[in-house]
Amino acid sequence: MPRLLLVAAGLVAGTLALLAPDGTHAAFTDDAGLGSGTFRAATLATPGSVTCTTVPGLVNQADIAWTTTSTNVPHRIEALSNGTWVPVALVPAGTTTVRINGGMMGSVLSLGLTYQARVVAHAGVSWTKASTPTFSLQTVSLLGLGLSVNCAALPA
Amino acid sequence: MTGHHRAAKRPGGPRRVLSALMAVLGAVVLLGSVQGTFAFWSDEASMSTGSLTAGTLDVTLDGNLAGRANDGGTWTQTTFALDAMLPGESRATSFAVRNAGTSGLTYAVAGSATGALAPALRFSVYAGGAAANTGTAAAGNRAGSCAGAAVATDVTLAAASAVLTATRRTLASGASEQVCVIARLTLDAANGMQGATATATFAFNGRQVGI
Repeated sequence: MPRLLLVAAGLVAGTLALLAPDGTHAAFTDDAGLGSGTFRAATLATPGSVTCTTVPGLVNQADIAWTTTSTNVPHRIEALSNGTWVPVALVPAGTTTVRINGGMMGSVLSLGLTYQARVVAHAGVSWTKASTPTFSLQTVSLLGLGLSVNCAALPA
Repeated sequence: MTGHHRAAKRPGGPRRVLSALMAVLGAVVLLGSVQGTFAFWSDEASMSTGSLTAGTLDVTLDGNLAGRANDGGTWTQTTFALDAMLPGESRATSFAVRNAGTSGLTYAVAGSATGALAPALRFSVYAGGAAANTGTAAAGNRAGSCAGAAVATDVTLAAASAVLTATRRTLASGASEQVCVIARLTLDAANGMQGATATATFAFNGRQVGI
């Protein structure tokens, strides 16, 4: 009986194989390809020659300026806080300077604290390129209001 | 004595031989006359065909790659490109896929991409719609979009060609439809992708209908 079943199954499989279109049909074909041009990711330039200068007459403010060729991407100023770089000011694309005050460093009360800061070019949410060298910001602030700020470049 | 006896047993022998010969000759003549006088009536008819011509399949892209000589060829659309891409930016292009052959066909779309940037690019394919591109490089917000029905969405292409269409699309002889493709740099592209490049290729594989 099992042998009979095997024979029957073989006959059915053979018949199906014979009837299968792929096995008996040739097919005309024609292929056309579309090639793209080149997709190239941007390269963010390192913000360079960063300067930090206090603003005459405004004791709690300083101007930070930098040179870069990445003028078509936004930048941000970051300060080193407990070993982590955190943004303190955002700069739109096309701008290479930003004015900050002592209160922007985020402390409710800071008396003569020195922050290490840097400029970062960034695109979207993931691409960054930081400046070298960094610079220092010495601030005095109370309740988030900057009272005074001094800045100086740090060695590279 | 014996010879005489034999001669006596066969009186008129030569005549018998002669008679036999005559009989044979008569039969031959008779047979010959039969063949010579019987005719066969006959009639013939023949049919000639018209011209039998094999059908042709001819997939063209915006009118390019026409003819059998271009089977398997590639047309490079140089405007389907983008320089200084930032994460999230995209570019779209559209073109007409046409069946310039004499027979109906179905086609599938397969895609591949090479280059270091390829793993960070996402491709989408639409049928029946045109492309639109907005934004500027300065603002970092260039965006491509497609009208029509999505055929494949946010596919990462590799060097090995992969079929993008779940079902084959049908084009009658002389018919065409717009196909739109978007290339987008994913938002989470790694920082190390800066400056990387990639190119993509899309193959439109036409096959006769009924298969």
